[in-house]
Order: sequence, then C-alpha cells, then structure tokens
Amino acid sequence: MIRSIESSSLPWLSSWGFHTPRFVCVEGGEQLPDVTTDIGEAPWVVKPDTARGGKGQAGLVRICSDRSELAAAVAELRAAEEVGSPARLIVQQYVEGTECYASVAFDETVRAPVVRLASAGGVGFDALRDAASAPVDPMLGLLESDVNHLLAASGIGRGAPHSAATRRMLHHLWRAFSASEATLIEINPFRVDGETLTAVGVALEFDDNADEYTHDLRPLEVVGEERFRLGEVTERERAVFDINRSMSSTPAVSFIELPGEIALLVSGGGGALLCLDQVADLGSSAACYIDSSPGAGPEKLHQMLLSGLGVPHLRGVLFGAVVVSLDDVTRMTEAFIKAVRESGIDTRTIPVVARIAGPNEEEAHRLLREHLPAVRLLGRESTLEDACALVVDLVHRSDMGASA
Amino acid sequence: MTAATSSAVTSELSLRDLLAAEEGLLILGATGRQARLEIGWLLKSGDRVAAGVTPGRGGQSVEGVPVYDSVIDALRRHRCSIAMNYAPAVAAADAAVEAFEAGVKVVVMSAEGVPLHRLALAMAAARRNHALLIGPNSQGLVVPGVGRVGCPGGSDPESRFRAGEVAVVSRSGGMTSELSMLIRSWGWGTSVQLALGGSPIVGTTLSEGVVLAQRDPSTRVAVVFGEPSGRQEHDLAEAVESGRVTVPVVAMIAGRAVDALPATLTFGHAPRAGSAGEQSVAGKLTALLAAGVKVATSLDGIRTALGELLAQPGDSREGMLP
Repeated sequence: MIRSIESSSLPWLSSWGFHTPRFVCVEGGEQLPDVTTDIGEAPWVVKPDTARGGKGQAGLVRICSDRSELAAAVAELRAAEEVGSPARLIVQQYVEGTECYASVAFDETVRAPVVRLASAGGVGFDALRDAASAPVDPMLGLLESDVNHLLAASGIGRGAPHSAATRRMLHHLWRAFSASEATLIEINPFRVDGETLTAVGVALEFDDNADEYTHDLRPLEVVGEERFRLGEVTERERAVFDINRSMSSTPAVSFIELPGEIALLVSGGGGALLCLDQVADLGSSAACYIDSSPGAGPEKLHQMLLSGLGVPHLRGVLFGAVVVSLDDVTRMTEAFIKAVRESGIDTRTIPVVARIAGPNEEEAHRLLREHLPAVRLLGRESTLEDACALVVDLVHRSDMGASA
Repeated sequence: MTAATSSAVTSELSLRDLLAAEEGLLILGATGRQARLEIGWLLKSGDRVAAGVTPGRGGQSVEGVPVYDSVIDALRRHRCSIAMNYAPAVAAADAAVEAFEAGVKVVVMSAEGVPLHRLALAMAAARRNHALLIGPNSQGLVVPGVGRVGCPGGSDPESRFRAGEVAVVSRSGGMTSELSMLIRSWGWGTSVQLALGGSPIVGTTLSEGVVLAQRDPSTRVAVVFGEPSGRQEHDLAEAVESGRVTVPVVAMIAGRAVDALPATLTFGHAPRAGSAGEQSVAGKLTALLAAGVKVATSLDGIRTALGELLAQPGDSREGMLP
C-alpha cells in the first residue's frame, strides 16, 4: 500500500478543488521558521509529517497559542519514537469550526468503492458505525442520486449552510479517487465555518499495482512501508527492500524480522502463518517471516533467504513450503543452499529441518543431501507441523546438550 | 451495509455440473509462460482444454489447443462456460470483463497484484451477468473425479486428491492442496476444493465459497482455512448463524501469533487493519466459535473434528482425479 505524507497530501487535495489550511514543514533539528509570516497568527497545530493516520488518537497533535508553546511542542514531538529520525513535523494554521467527515475507499464486503459522509468527525470518530454510506458502481461513477442519499442520511441536507459545498466536495472526492486510482481518501475532520469546508486531517492510500499513468496524478511524496522511511527496520530487512526496489519488474518477496530464535524460511503465506503459530504453541518463537511468489527470480529468493539466515542469535532453521503446485521446488532449494554457504551457518551445530514437496522434489532432496548432508530432510509424508515440532525439539535438545 | 453477494452464488450454479458438461476449459492469456506450463499439465492429467485466447495471437496453438484473438471468436467454435484466466495482472481484469460479457459463467483469475479499480469493473461485470469470479491470486478449483480449473495439484493431481465428502475452501492457495492431500491421507476425500485467492478484495469470499461447496451433493463437511487480514471470517460466522451455511464447518485461522505484533507489518496475503478486537485472529476465532463452527488450532485438530463429524473415515472413495 502506498501512502502520502501529510505535507504532500494537503497540496494534492488543494489541486483537486479542496480548501486546505496553510502549513510549513520543520525538518530535523532546524530552527523554527517565522511561522506568523508563513501561515498567519496563532493558534497553530503541530504534528508529525508522516503517512500514518490516527495521530490525534495517539496523542501526537498539539495546539499551540504562542511561539514558546510551539517551541516546546516541537521539541517534545522531535523526541517521540513514532516521529522517526530525522524528525519531520508539520506546523499548520488552526482552523475554527465544527467538524464533519468524508471518505471514499474500497470496501472488502461490498467489493466496490464506498463513499461515506457524516455531520460529525474528529478524534475517535467511528466512520464504519456512524457515517452514512453509498456504494458506487464503478461502471457508472458517483451519481447525483448517491450524493442526495449521502446528504440526506448524514443530516447535511437542504438548509444546512454548507450543503452546496458538501455536494461539490463529494464530486471532487470521487474525481480524485478514480483518476489517481486511490484506495482510500479520508478527510477527518473537515472544519466547517459557514459555507466553507476546510480539510485539516487527511489520510491517502494508493494502489501499488495501478497503471503507471496514474502516478503523475498522485501527491509528490508517497511512501510504501513507512517503517523503512522512519528507520524502524534492520539491515537485513533493508537489504530485501532494496532488492525489491531495484528489481521491480518481478514479484516482490517479503521478509519480516522477529525477536525469536528459529528462522522460519517457509514460503506460501498460509503455510508460513501456520508455522508461526505452531512454533509459538511449542514454546519457541520465530526469528523471521518470509513469503514469495513464483516468478520472483533467483536473486530475490537468495537475498530473502540470506536475510533470514543472518538474523542474530539464530538457534534453528526451518526451510520449506506447503506442497508446491505451480513451481519447480529445485529453484528454492538451490537458492537456499547458496544462502547457507554464504551466511556461514554451520548446519552441524545449528539444527536445520527442510520439508520439501512439489514438482521435481526428488531432485531437490538429492541436492540437499549432496550439499548440506546435516540437514534433517522431510518429504510430503510429513506435515509442516511435523517439521515445526522437529526443529523445536532439536533446538531444545541442543539447549540440554549445552547445559550438560 | 450488506455484502454484495454474487448472484451466481445465490442462484443454483453447481461447479460439478458445469465442469461435467464442459467441452473443455477456455484459457485466457493462453500463450504466456505459466499458461503454457499449466495447459500441458492439464492435458497430461486428462482435464479437457477446449480453446485459448490471446489478443493478436489468433491462429496459433498451445499443446494442440487452438488460440483465438477474442473470447467471442473462441465461443463461436467451442462450448465453454468456465475460463481459467492466466492474463498478466495489468490485463487480467479486462480479460475477465470480456469473458463475462461474452457469456462465460465462471472465471478463475490467477494473477496477483491486479489493479483494484480494474478489478472492481470485473466484479461489477460478473454481478451484471449473473456470473462468478474466483480470485484474483487463485490457484483454481478441483472437483476430484470430474475435473479441475487451473492446476492445484501441479503436475500430479492423482497423488494429491481423492473424491470424497469434505469440501476445502481456503484463502491460501498452497494450503488448499496441502489440506486435500492430508484429508486423503486420513482416509477421507474431497468433494470440492476452492482456492479463493489471498487478495484484499476477492470475487468469491469464504462464506460464498462454502455456500457453493455445500451445494455439491457429495459435501458433508467444509474445512475452511482463513488468514489474519480483512473480515471474511466474520462474514462466514454470520452466514453460519443466519442459516445460509447449513453444512458443518471446521475452521482454521492461521496467524494467531501475529495478533501480538504491530498491525503495520503485513503477514499473509493482505494488510491488516488492526490487531485487536474484531480485527484480530482471536476475534475471528471467537466469532466462529460463537456461531457453532468447530475451530481447530492445528492440522491434527482438523483431523479430530472431521472424525467427530464424519464418524466413519473413508466412506466415499470413488477414485482419483480425473
């Protein structure tokens, strides 16, 4: 999922016809700018310039009535873990008014875009429960009848001073959503002052897989997994991220480092999740989670496995997959053998269990026996749970051996 | 807001009957690498493939299967109501729309990473034409003893599946075949196997998959494999409670361990909205238990639950695919 950071979201909304507050960015440890000149008199709002939503609920938004309060709030937020390093903050003009809510997003249950509107909004507002909603047929687009329904059901009907502005805003919302192939545009809240709606809080998400021509219609600065931008990743996660980015024409591979002791190098999303649970149920813990699709290519597979084998304090390895249907299992096996050699893991001292089944499994078994003879090899007669039990048992035995 | 259930699911569509009556599968994106590989496997295992479609490649053939420029061209010469869609992600949704508009009743979409705005158009086309979309990111479906759409079981389905009484409906493609293989090894067999695809939004959900599977006269129990993201498992619980699902259900939701990890990390096939309350795996398991579903936390637990529900193992062994 691609998201937009707030300092890019606001100008983007403005370009689609929304009214937005003035703001200024404060980066790293730089001096506070002359906020009054840039965005006007206090009060001001200061918050992290990240793509993450729920900043108000997380206590990361401060309202400041003078420059000394602003300086204190900036210092406090720069030190907050969630802001990342170097810290990027946004100082925004405070807008008076009541609050309301609008969004458009793909809905998993309806399986179509759904527009939501409410006459309330702000921190803690539950849009799924409290907003009026209208599913939109993507072949027809947002119809006047949808807009009329939303206005009536939300209570922002005829007679409300901002009724006409809300009607226009809903059409801007749909136009921006469909043209940029967004998956979410959420404005929470709008501040309502007479006939004017000002978008003061915004969350934007875009489809990673959308056609390239839509990229020019997106905000200037978008991020994939924001934890990479905020420096919340290990060097091994960064290495997988980098190879995915440099070889973007083939399917990406996943690698998540976890604080456990057994590297779960199990491909197939469902099978890998099953193993996470089983290892935990057996009193151990996973050191990583991986996933890959057929077609990822040998370089990405190699880096993913190398990252898994490089997790510090590793005490066991489970390599394998669900019974593969659509790929040759020797590809993954060759990448594993290469990664084990490069990582320097000694399979005689760190227990390694492999469960390999699928097209060409005999050849995969032969390769493992020839190149990594200490690996405990299981076939399709054993389940992934058997493999989990074996590797946990071997790790526990090695504990007992060490203590004896 | 209620779910937009596919009218093909609410109608009397039977996968077994459709497959049995089929002249052969229609293959969309028939000349790509994965399609060529799987057409070979399908033919080798005795599954019928009538025709392929790749725009601009009309007149060619793959493993002896004729390729046409359009679905309409193919349907002028062949009687197909089921299509396996191997078109690449950027073209997969448009290929599905073309097939639905031409009268194809079921399209299984293989591609992963289909653009969502395109996919929404394909889903709308399926609804308008009272047809069924399975996927994207689906390995396909199997009715052991009758045939398969796509290649669950790879090159040797005979070693994986046996016809029987247990429906397998899963969000994970790999686990679908893994479960069917285990069920066979435990002495039972599979009535219908459905890999629904792990995308955040899919054409056929878990509850719809179970409704389709329970319509099969062989089905006595449904085994369901769920994942942490989304709310399909809650919809299934509601379908059981409301009586829409009538067959006994055994459910395993993998990923209990990820409830303790930040929701910003994506495990499985789709991002999670949260890791607490309803959005957690624990929340899904609680809802399913409350609805009367048998919940298993291990493969052995599935076996035990099936033993209780079916009493006698292996009372239906009509043979292997096809």
